[in-house]
Amino acid sequence: MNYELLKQKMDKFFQEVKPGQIAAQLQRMGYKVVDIEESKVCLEEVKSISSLHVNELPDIPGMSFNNAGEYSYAMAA
Amino acid sequence: MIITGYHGTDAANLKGIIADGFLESENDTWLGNAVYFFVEGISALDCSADAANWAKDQSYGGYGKPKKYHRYVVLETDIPTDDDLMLDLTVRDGARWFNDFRRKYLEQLRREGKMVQGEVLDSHILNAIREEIGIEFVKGEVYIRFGKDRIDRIHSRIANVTIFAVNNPNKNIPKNNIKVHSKGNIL
Repeated sequence: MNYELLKQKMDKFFQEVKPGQIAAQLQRMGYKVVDIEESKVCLEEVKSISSLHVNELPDIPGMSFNNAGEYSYAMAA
Repeated sequence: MIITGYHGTDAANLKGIIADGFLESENDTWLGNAVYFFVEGISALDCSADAANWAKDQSYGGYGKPKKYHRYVVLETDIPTDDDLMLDLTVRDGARWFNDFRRKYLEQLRREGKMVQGEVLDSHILNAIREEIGIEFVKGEVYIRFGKDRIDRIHSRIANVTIFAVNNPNKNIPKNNIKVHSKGNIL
């Protein structure tokens, strides 16, 4: 394995990746790609089930549970 | 570098593989779409035995149903690899590179205001890496639940075999390197 070359190729890919390219690739693989805003609607429904214990709340991709007991987005800087 | 790999399959496939070479298979649970070989690594068994066990397990047709096939073959193949097209997940740099790629890939998606519904599989990230980076060889350690493990009701996340996934088999696996290592009946 040529680690330095792999790093260069990765940097080049993320510099040159076009908007929508990754979403389209994931969709070709069979994933449903949704708008984050759209997924918030689902999140509100989850949060409204107040009787659920924290540990019983489902995992939501890209979300984490903070100390204040709220879901939050792990957004990139 | 030459890597010797062992591929277990239905004996009925032998003629086709010898004549036309291997075909990539779609795989969601291991290292993505590729031709797979068991290679020397962490297995407690000889890797040719892993290949034989895999081939035997794959003959299982379901509870109370006949086996899908009754003879297996293990093919041994010397695979000339190209370091520039290789991702080795069995070493720390390779695993770290994969994790970094996946993190950046999904961060880029989020920056565009999108996210995936459902779980993102390693195999699919590796398929994306093949498309975008041009990797043709992936070595990795995975847990494969062999038939005996099922009987023993083992559920594990600790890898038990080292596997080698090869793309573009017509280019990367010379047909004259493919030879029969062993074969047998499946009881």
